[in-house]
Amino acid sequence: MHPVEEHYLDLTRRRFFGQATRGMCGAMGTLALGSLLKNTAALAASTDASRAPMGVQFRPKAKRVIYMHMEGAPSQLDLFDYKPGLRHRYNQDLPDSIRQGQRFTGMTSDQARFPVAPSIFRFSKYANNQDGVWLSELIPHTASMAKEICFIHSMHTEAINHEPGITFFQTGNQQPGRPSFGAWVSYGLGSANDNLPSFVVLISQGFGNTQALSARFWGSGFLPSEHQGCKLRSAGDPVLFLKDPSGVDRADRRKMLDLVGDLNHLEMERSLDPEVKTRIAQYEMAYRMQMSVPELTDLSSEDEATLAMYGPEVKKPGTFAANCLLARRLAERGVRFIQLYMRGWDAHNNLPSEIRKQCAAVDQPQAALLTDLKRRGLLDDTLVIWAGEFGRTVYSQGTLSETNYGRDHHPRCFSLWLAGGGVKPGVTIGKTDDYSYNIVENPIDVHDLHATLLHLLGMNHERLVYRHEGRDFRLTDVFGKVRPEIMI
Amino acid sequence: MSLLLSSVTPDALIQFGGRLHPLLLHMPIGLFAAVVLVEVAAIVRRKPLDQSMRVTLVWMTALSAAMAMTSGLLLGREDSYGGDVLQTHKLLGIGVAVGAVLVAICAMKPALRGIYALLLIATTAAMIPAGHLGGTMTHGEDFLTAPFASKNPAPDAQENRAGDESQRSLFATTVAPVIHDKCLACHNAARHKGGLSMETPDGILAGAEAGPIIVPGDAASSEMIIRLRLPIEDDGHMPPKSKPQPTEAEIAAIEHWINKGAEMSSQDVLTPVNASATRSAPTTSAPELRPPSQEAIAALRAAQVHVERVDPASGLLWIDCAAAPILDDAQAQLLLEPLRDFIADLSLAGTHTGDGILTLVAKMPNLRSLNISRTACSPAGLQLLKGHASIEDLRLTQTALDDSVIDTLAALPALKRVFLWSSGISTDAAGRLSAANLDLLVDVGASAKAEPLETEGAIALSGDAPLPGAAPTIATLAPANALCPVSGKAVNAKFVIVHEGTIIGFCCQDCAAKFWAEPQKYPVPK
Repeated sequence: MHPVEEHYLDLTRRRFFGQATRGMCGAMGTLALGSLLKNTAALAASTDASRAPMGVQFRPKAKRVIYMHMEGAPSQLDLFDYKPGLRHRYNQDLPDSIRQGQRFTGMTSDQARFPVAPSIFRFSKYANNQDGVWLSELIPHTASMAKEICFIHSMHTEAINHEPGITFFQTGNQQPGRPSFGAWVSYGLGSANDNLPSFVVLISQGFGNTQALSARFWGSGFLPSEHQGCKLRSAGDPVLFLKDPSGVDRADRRKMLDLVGDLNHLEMERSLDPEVKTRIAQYEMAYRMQMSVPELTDLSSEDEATLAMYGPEVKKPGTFAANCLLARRLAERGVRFIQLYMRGWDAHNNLPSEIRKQCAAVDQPQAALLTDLKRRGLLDDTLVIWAGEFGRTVYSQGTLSETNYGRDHHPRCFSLWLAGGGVKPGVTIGKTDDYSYNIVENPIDVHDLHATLLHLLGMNHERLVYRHEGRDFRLTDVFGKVRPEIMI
Repeated sequence: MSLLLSSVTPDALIQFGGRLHPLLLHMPIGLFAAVVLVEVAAIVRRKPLDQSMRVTLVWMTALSAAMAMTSGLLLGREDSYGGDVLQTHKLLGIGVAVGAVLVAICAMKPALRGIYALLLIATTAAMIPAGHLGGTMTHGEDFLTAPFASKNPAPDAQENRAGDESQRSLFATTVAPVIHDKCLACHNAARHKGGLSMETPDGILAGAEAGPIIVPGDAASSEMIIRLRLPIEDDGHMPPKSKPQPTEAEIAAIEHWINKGAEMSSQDVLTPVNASATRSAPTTSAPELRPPSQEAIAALRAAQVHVERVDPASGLLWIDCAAAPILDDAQAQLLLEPLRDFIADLSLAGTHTGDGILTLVAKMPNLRSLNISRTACSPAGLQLLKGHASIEDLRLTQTALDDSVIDTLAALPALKRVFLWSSGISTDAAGRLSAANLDLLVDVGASAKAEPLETEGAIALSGDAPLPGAAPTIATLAPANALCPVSGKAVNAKFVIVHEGTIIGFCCQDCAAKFWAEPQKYPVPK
């Protein structure tokens, strides 16, 4: 076989078409082979350049993100969206004038009736920078930080089930395959600490009904795969095999990596596969993480008062408290995007008992995280997001009693909160109707939220693009408006 | 097709004809040259020129000159041209066209051969300045002579310029050359495209047809910067895609100048780049104009220090040492010194630095945010920062300071926020600082936890609220009165109206109608 043809067989399809014009020269024989090899060097250089982060497009308000995703969708009715009027509509049917023919999920569509289930949790009014905000007794610690928080009651989403809902929230599209928000930020801004991944994922198990959590939620999609989220383990060592085996010292490891790196470079030149570059980068990152991760997870420098602030579970790896503390430590070390997942909010049945346990696990740590960031001066440039993938219904799924109810998925309105990083502190944005079923004021969709968050990070969501399959892709696809009411 | 036809308006046709001028004008130039050449050749070769050939040539010349003149007059109507140069060019052009016709007429009569020769020479001579002035309008004043201009001024001239650099304005040193090189070709007094002439400061201030191009103090809102920053494919981008583009540093310089108030005096003259010493001039007062040293940035990155521009418009940097905890004073000094003027945001948190580096920090003219949390800085070291004019944000958490630092903090005129949690500074001292400067945010890390303002009572669930949108029932419309206000008889609950928020009952429909007509006449009994 002709060496040039053989060479092409090694190329990936994408590279093949990318090189199609050069391929025509290739067919002309050895003369062209020389130019092809030259092109290889040029290509390697251009690949490097294309991997340099684009950087900010204007002065950012936030330098990093801590995104707490509440997997399963917490109930806005029992936490944030105060509807005292519903207490007098207990067990009434959801009026058609409110439902307006909207779809139900398959889990409740065959229910005989849709009885209104008011929250059985007491709300208190907390001072903020407007005329106060009513918040549930389930989250007293978070509520006490109301002056720092921007509550949005008028979020809505397209998806009605978890998998597409989380995918939409994380990637801007219900279909899998797009890069995660964190991967986009990593791609756009790069790392601010080369010894740690720019996108780190921390997962906490919940106490309620739990849904699957796929690794593609923090995947890099078609972006170079070094931008995918790096999940730290929630039990035992956060990263496995950090210590070199006995008999291997740091210098040996370095020598080995240099040799493997040389081999990989040869492979890169031979195959032109960009993923080889990623592999080289990942080996180097792992080498550096051998030093940086033990320091990151060593809590001996934390004083007792700080640990106590995060609550009793702070030293138990994998708990939300431990992950909140780790999030602060990662933020301090310059990690761009820290994604926390708290599972178990999917309360179709037994909502009161499940949400009590869930809130007990998250409330104190997340409030402590805000306090801790604030007193270190980090809250100003750290964007904190707390959100589920959709809301929950006002009507009860299953049997309604005065002490127990369940709630189904509700994409038409839900609440989330933001803090720090240029977000307007101590305000409430948007309103829902008396049933927390429809939005009556200031609807904000997921694309708008993404556009606004990217704006706070100094990037124009229309210009953060990656060319793939012949078109430019964005986190916000062809949608999204920056919402000034959210920002300072 | 109909769309295409509908856009063919008389105005458009006139414009189209005018824009043919640059094409047509070359024909009379060539033809005049041809006529002169054949006449000269005939004299040299002593062979009389064939009269029919002469007549054909001169009439072709006359026709092409007339066409060039007509198209030129049409083009001159476009707004983007004007001024003295155009006027002279126009007069000369008309002269050439008229001359060409006269030449042609004279050429037909052998008796007028003498006048023919004189006219031919005069018209050809007039064509040269006409053509030159036309070229000046399209290509700019010095287009022809530019290749001869000295690229490197004599060394002593350069010295002189550097010497009086301080007297020269920001505009004259940095902005004017860019405008001269990249804008003036189209936006000059003779050819003010879009109604904009940038030849003088007054012209720049006057702006374009569509409005001013500069908002002093606000580069981001200035049309000039907006146009410069548009993607090059955008139709609104300036300079147009095909023209030489300013460099990023040049745009940044203009932005800086606008942000500083866009000062220029009417004496400022727009000079070409190579006549200015800007690029070699020291610019410590405005570091944005000169990119930071790439070698110094590379050295920092090699030491695991993060370096990032705070925004793409300025050369200012965010430098974060979070990944380089082993950095000590000596190393930090070595690495940061070359970038001193560019550092706007510096975090040394958690490094082994201490007071040593603060000597250098005190000399960073553009530093706005400083984080020296978890470092070995001392009150004495902090004193070095006293009077620093630009520090707005200062993070001193988890340090071993004491209350004496308060004096230093009070002597930072630009300070807006200071974080003192666990810094050894007492709450009392922090309170004094805060009281002395009410605009200063002093965060001592006190618990921000707030108690609720009010709490709702015990929850009682019921299902008795009326459904939203349900028709009002008799029960919900119970009248406030027992007796009919019109007749005085007992109220029949069937006849009720809502008047000024009160539900009023009547005995019959007629009484309700009477009340409705003159409500003030019938006081409602309780």
